[in-house]
Amino acid sequence: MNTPRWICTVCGWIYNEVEGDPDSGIAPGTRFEDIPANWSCPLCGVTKADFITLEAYAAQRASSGPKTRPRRARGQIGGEDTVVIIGGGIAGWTVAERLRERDPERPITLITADDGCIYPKPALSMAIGQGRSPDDLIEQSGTEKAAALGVTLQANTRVMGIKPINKRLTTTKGNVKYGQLVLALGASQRRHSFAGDAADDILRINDLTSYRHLRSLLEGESRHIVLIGAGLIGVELAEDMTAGGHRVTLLDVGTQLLGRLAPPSIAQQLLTAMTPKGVSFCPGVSLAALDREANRYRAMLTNGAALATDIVISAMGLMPNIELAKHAGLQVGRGIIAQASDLRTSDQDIFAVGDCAEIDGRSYYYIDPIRRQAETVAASLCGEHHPFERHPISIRVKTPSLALHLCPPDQSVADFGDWHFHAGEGINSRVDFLAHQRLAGYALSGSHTQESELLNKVLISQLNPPPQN
Amino acid sequence: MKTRTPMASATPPISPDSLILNQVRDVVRDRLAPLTVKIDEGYYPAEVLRALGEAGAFRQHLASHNGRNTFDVQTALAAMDVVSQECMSTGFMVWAQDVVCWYIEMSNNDHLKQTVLPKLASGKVLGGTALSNPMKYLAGIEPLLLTATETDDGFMLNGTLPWVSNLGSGHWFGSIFKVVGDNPRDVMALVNTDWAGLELRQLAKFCGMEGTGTYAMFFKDVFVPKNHVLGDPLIPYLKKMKAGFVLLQTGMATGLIEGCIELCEAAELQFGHVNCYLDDRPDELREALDDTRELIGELCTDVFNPKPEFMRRVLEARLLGSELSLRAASSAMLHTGANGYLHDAPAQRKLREAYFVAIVTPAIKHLRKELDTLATA
Repeated sequence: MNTPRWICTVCGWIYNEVEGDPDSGIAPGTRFEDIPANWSCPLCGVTKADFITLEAYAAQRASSGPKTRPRRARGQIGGEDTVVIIGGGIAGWTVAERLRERDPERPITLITADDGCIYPKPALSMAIGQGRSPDDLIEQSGTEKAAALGVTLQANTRVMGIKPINKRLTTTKGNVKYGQLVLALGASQRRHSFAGDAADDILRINDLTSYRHLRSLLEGESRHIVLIGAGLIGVELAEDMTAGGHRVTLLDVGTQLLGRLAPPSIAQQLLTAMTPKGVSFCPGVSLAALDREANRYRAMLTNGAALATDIVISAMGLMPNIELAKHAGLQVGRGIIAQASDLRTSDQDIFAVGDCAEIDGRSYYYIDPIRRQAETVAASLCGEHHPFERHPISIRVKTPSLALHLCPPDQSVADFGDWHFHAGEGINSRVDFLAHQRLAGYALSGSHTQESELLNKVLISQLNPPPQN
Repeated sequence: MKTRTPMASATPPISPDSLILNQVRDVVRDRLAPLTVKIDEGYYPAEVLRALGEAGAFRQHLASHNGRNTFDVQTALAAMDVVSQECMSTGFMVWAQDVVCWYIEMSNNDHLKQTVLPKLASGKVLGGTALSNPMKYLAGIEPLLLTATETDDGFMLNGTLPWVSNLGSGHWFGSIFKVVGDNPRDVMALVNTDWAGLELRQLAKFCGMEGTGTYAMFFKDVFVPKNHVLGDPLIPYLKKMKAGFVLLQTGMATGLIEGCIELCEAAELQFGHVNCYLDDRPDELREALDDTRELIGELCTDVFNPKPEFMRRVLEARLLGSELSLRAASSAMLHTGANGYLHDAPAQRKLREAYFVAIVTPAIKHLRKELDTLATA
């Protein structure tokens, strides 16, 4: 690089002594001083007198340039002063909202693998019954939301790696720097590798994209669906699909619907209500293999039975998305470990919120705790203290066949108690979960569901006892 | 034919000063660099490719030929990277040659491993991939264009492939065709351009990268003997080799990006005082390139990982290579200014090369479709 180079101050063409200017008859290796005076710049035609050395030119110009790097003209994707949120679900957007309420100035970038549109995720399991298409569920586009909040949205972009030491991310569109990082990565349906040549066709429904795909498959005629897993999502989806005239076979390795969320008596009430609508339940059974057969599938079950079906959905339970965090060296358990006090992860500039987070050994997949977590993160980002409190998980099950309100016992007491019938009869009943003779959860059906608020208050007061006088 | 899963092998990162890379650098400086502009305009550099083969550029990922008994995709990429910094047309042909070798290495065809692979791995014989159409077929983008009828000892192929690169007389390429008849299925085999019934025609003229031996291929009753079959059943074979196939392309991107950054850096003395107003400055691009190389290096240690999650990461890395190539090339144009816009300027050539990275199969749109499909499954 030490070759003497001379620059035309008019057009910027550079004379390199090693290369010469053979087109003008100047041989490679000719010193600039030795070039005849009648030679002219091959690009713009000015004379030799208009050339100076590149070093002199650079020194002249540098004095006229800015001392520090000017703010970039485009985009402002991330930056050292920016809060970068990864994930455009309810958790990610709620953090952006709460943070913007507290700090109108803070640069915020939200990166999402999809288009960032706003939709109520719980509505995915009741849209057919409500006669809504996937597009009807969208409340606002990501672009509109971002504009309203003054957030930079980097949509359709996947984050591939985090480097906490350098405070930057690698995304499919290049690197992004951050000041603080919020992980709102969500959860995924557990992946089980089934046998058979069509195993790759098994669907997992956990966002609008996958839901849209399901709806496209359900269009037209009545279908038969095999649903693996009779938990909350399995039961709600099954019921909703029957509302569209489809038939569903629900498989579960357990003995009843809703597993540990509900007592057997209430699970049985629900099954009785769903059966006439076209849901059949196979307890103690899962899928063994899925193969193509004509234009349909042949599902082999673990009990040796086989059935012809059109669509297979796996709903075997949610697993927090931890790979990115784990790869970055953050502390993870089942989820990304975050402190209840401020939702910081093991890196003090990185926070975790929503389905991906694990707080005191628990992950929360429901809207209310996610919103409260977002509040905690936004407060922490502004130097305030607003710890996340554990409330009882109160779930209104979206099964029109039978009104259900469930509050399963916390994992710390689930093995130290049992369900006890409390009141009611038939499809209107209340069953309490008692641990150490105290109320630790409940299951309400029919007319008893209106007692949920009252019972929640009892449970909250037990979790967070009022200060003693 | 049953497919065996090869031993997965983790390879330590190679030293940038390793003998093989230095030999490749010598070929690039002495043989390739003087031809770069000519290649862009249409000259097919067979002698450069042979020299790269002799230097060992095509055998690094082949456990059977690299002397280390590991599938060292990372070193294969490093060699391709060095070539692509100078001329991405040639980098693309390095990829084609690497992949046709990979086809045989990943098959259970001992006949081809003994007869053809040594010649391809050393660059004595050249070859192409021809998998653009099949890759798009498998992603549900277009139908398979070759059909075949099965005979006792082989297949009769008919159909047309619109453009296949790194071809010439006596070259090998991989071919996937739809077998019709009693036992319908898809099969992949290795085919030679000299075989009867096969015609190559140079129909299209491209805006760059013309010296890549790219032809339309017309098949009229081309007989493919069964001892040239690579994958039957096809799907398990493709699954095994796909991550390597896609990952191997990333060397074109990283080399091109490196070349673009160097152009930006070289303009610094002249334009630094005003280039600082541009996006994607060379230091920022270099940071992104370093992270990208590191990420690809990690993926290279696990090329037989069958999990969808791994394939997602591979596709993302390939996508990143395309996106960053476009940005780096755009940056090279903006940083070099009018000098980069001159007829023979490297910046404008690299801009056209970057678009090639972004549209060659799997193109950005194809990758986004596959990633979308993985997200719904």
